[in-house]
Amino acid sequence: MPFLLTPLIVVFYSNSILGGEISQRENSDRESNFEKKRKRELLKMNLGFVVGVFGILILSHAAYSTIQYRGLLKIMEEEFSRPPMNVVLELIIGVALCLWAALTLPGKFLSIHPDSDENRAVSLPDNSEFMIFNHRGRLFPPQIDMKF
Amino acid sequence: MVTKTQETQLNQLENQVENGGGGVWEYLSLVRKLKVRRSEIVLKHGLSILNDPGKRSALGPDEWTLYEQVAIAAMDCQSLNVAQNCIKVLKKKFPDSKRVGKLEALLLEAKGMWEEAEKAYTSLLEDNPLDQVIHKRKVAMAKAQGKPSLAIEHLNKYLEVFMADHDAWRELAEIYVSLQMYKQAAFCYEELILTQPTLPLYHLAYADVLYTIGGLENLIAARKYYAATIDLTGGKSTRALLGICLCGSAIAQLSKGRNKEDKDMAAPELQSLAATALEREYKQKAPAKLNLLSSALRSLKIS
Repeated sequence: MPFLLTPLIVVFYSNSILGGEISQRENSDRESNFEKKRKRELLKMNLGFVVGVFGILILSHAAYSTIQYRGLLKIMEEEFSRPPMNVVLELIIGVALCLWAALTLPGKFLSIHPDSDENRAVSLPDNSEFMIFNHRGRLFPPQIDMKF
Repeated sequence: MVTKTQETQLNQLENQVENGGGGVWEYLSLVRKLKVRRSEIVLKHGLSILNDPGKRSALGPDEWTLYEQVAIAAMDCQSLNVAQNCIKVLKKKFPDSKRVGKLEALLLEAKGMWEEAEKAYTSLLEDNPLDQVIHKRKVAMAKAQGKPSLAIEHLNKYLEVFMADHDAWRELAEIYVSLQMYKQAAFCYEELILTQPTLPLYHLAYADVLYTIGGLENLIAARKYYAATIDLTGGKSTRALLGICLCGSAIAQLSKGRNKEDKDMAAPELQSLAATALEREYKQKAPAKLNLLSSALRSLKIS
C-alpha cells in the first residue's frame, strides 16, 4: 500500500515545481500560448508516468498470482497449462496501461518523412558571415531612430 | 536551414510584432537562431526594447546579445550612429573583447573605410590566425569592393584549410555563377551535394547550373537532378517540376536528328507527368495563372 502512495507523492511534487515555474515567468513579457502548451505537456507526462507505474504494479501482481497458482497446482499434482482467467484479464489490462504510458511519456514524436513540414528545408541560411553592407538599401535609410 | 514549420512560425511572429502585438523578444531570438536577415524589423523593435530601461533590465544577461544583434542590423540599414552607440556601450562593458573588436572592424567596413578595416582585421588575425569569421569578412570585403577575383582567391585559400564549411562552398558557387564560370560553380555544388545529400535545395541549384551550361549530357544529368529534387521534396518543389518540362523539351530539340536510342532519352512520360502535377498545383494555388501555364506548356511540347 505505501507502493501506491509514491506515484501520488511524485504527482504533487512535480505540480508544485510547475507552480513555482509559472509564477516566476509571469513577470517577464512572454507569450502565454507557449506556457499553456508546456503546462499541458507536463501534465500529460505526469499522468503517463502514474499510469505507467500502475501498469507495472498490475503486471507484477499478475506475475505473483501466477507463481502462487503454479505452487497450488504443484501441491494438487496437476498440469500447468495456462493461468486462470482473472490473471489473464489482469495481464491484458496491465499491458494496455503500460503501452499507453510508453507512448505518452516521451512527449512529442519527431517526424521522419523528409518532405513533412517539420523536416522540409524551405530556404538555406542567409550567409550572414559573408554579408556586405554595400547594397542598394544604403540609399534608403529608415526613419530617424534616436539612441540615448 | 529553415524548415517549413519554422518559416510559418517566423512569419506569424513577424505579423504579430509588426501589428503591435507582444512577443518581440521571441521574434528576435528566432531570427538569431535561424540566421535570417530581417534588418529593418530587428532594428525598429530591438531599439524600442533598448531605449526602454525597464524592458532592458528585464532581459538580464541577454541584453548584450541584443546590443550586438541591433548593431549589425543598424549597419545593414545604414544607421551608422545607432551602430556606433551600441558598440560604445558594448565596449564599455567588455573592454578587451575580440568579439567587440570584430564589431568595430565591421563598422569600419560599413562606413566604407576599407584600408582601416583591412588593418583592423589583420591585427585581429595576428592574435588568432585561425579565426574563421575574420577570414570570411576579408572575402566579404573583397566582394563589396567589387573585386570578385580577389574574393575567389581568398575563398579558395580559406577552403583549403576549412574544407567542411558549407556556407563558404555555397558562397564560392554563387560568386562563380555571378561571373558566369559555370563549370567551377558546378564543382562547388557537387562538393555540397556530397556532404549533404539529403538537402534538396543543393540538387536544385546544381540542376540549374547544369541546365545553364547546356549540351546533351548536361541536360540529361540536369533532368536527373530535378527528378532527385522532386523525390526529396515529395513533389512540392514547383521549380523542379518546371525544370523537368524545360529539360525534356530542350533534349527533344537537341536530339531531333539522332537515331532511335537517343530519341528514347526524351522520356515523354516524365514530361507529361510533371506537366499534370504542375497544372494541379497551379489550379490549387494560383488559378488565375493556369491559362498562362497551360499555353506555355503546350508551346514547349510542340517545339
